[in-house]
Amino acid sequence: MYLASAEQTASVRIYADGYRLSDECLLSAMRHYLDQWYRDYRSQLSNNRPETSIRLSDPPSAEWLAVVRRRINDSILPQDFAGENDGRWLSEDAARAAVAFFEATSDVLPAEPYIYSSRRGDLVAEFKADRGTLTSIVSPTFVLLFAVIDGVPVEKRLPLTDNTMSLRSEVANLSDLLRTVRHGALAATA
Amino acid sequence: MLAGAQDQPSFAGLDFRHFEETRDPEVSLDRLGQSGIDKAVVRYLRPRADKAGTTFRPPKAFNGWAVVRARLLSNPPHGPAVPVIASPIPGQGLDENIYHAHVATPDHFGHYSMALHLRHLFTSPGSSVYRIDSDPPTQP
Repeated sequence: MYLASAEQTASVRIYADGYRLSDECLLSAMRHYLDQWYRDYRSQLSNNRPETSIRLSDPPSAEWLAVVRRRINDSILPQDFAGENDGRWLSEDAARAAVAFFEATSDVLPAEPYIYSSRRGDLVAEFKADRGTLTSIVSPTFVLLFAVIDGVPVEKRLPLTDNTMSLRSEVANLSDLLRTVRHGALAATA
Repeated sequence: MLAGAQDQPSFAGLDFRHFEETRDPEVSLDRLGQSGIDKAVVRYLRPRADKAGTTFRPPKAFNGWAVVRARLLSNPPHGPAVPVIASPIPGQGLDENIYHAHVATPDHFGHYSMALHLRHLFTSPGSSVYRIDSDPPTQP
């Protein structure tokens, strides 16, 4: 303990032995802890997290999803099928990938798809929208999206991974372009 | 149509599989005429197309051709050029096809991308579908 003289009592302080903290140090320490608290607090807000780290456990479904899922499941090549696939069947892997694709993206796709099998047994889904068409081909490992928007083709090849957010984002972007009315095309009314 | 999807509404567009070539990077075409559809050429090609349909299992009926001007393939507004290369097939009788041609898949293209590109070109403005039971050609 440090005892001051009478004229110094206005600033009497108690310090631990051999230790003294200046006003600058105290302010600096307070600022440090406040900054850290603010950073931690800020990082907990969901709108500051990268979109890819946000997972939807159960994305919303389009009304047609259940019907399309049933059509796909009923078209899986039977295991005892001996003949040549004449286009009526999907490979089991492609069918499962297609169901996963539609479950992840049905709410952002333009409409109910017309589905059929490619020559390789992958699923082809055809969509029609106001400004063009979208064809998606779903294989066990990737999805190929081919949109024709106002006559201009756009192709995207996306890997099928656990990260459905990026897939949804790409599909939503193309669907928006297919749906959006060009402002320049609007006619003026009298 | 898929075995489990018999109840779905019909599709108005051209089936993607008509443009799918899984065995070869060259996609076969027929040249239907010099500057338009030549009826004599159609009469020559029709039995060959019917015969080709019998090689599938089960056999496929031949319905007609998707038609586009060759210059659209060699100079498309979008995507890579796929110039038409005349490649007559020698042979006897219906095995011969003097109007056969092909387009080559660009190096960086997979077979799906090629099929989608071709279908887009064959459904672009100016293209048509020549059905064997219809005359003149109809728009796709």
